[in-house]
Amino acid sequence: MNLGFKSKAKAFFVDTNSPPSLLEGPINVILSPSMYWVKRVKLPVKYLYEVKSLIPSLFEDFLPEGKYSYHAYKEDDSYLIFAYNDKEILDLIASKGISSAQLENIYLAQSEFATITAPIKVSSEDILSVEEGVVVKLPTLLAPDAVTMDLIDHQFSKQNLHLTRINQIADKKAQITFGVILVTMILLFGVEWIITSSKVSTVLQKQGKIFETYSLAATSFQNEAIQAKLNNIFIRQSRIRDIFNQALSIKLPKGMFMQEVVLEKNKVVIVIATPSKEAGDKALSKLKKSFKQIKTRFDNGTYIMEVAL
Amino acid sequence: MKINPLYIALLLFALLATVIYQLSISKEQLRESKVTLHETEMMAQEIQALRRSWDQPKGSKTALLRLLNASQLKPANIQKSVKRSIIVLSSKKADLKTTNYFFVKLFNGAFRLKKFNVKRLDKEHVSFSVEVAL
Repeated sequence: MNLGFKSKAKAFFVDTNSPPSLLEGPINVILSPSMYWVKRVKLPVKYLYEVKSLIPSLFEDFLPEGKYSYHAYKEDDSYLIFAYNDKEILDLIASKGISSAQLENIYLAQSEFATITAPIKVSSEDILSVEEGVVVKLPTLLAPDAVTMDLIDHQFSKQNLHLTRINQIADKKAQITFGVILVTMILLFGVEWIITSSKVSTVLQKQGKIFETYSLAATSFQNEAIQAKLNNIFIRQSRIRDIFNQALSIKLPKGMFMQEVVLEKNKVVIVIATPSKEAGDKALSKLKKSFKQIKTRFDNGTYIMEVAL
Repeated sequence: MKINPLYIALLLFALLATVIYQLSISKEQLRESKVTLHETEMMAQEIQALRRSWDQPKGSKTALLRLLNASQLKPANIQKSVKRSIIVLSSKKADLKTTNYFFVKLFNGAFRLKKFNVKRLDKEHVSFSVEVAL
């Protein structure tokens, strides 16, 4: 494909009689007239694509049996139409030692040498000459003084054949197999995608049912807040019971007795009558070990312990 | 018009990439939604259990009234007053056996105790006041 920038590819003329290529790096191949069929036609059409659609019928009964590709371009007030066999061309190019990696573009002798004013020698046996506007291959005998072809500074036209690399490396069957594999993979992954999406919908429906069944609030944030609130109630009530149970299970020494047990907003207060602070500490030491955040004080025969909730 | 097979291959690759990408998104969605479903179910069950225990105003009130009707509590002459969502139970003088029975029942039930005060009157008697949230 010619993208408009200057290519570094070297030119090489390919004919059945041409010698093998000794070139390295990218190569632009110029096809000998013997590798394609050409016709100059005048047609009452405006656009090139209209011409291209007509080419097969214009070559009908003219070409030998085979599979052909077509090309056309406009020159002056007429169209030049071409027919060529991809496989034959690629086989010939390959036989000349040009690998598909080297091959950059393929040009036609017609488009490259249409402007020559004198015959040019392409091999010891053949020359190229322009006859009635068409480039043809002729025997050297017809122009023994023809100058040898020089492609070093050859300026290529824009009329390269669109033989893509995929055409070169894979035949039609391989392309179809490749396409079928890709399509199969697309279908398999597509089906899996649809199944997975439907599973997602099912899971979301189940989630909706849970909200309904358990009469949950509309959002997760609200539910988390409700859960936290209920958990706090549970923790507080459990702690109240733990403190109270332990306080009542304490056996006080003789002369000491429990005066009062009070549950306030954030604490449980246990009041015992005791002769000294030390005696009170000792009597309620079990509570001190079990619960943190405990405050104690002794006041006039009364020992007061506050356990934070 | 002849379409270059390379374009078709590129189109198929693009389609394949799109389908694989969408599939990976769907799989991630499925994984996340399964995790969320499990978490929601766990949370719902916990909320339900907690509600049954701690957020049943009618149930609490009924259970308390049933407790007050117990013959074992008659000697304590427990007074009841209801203020909005709080019920206050109090006794000016109750023997230790009755008091013990009352508090064991109260603590073993899922009642939300807001405040209480148990005060010794003499060796055998106490007075008490309990606030239970409904």
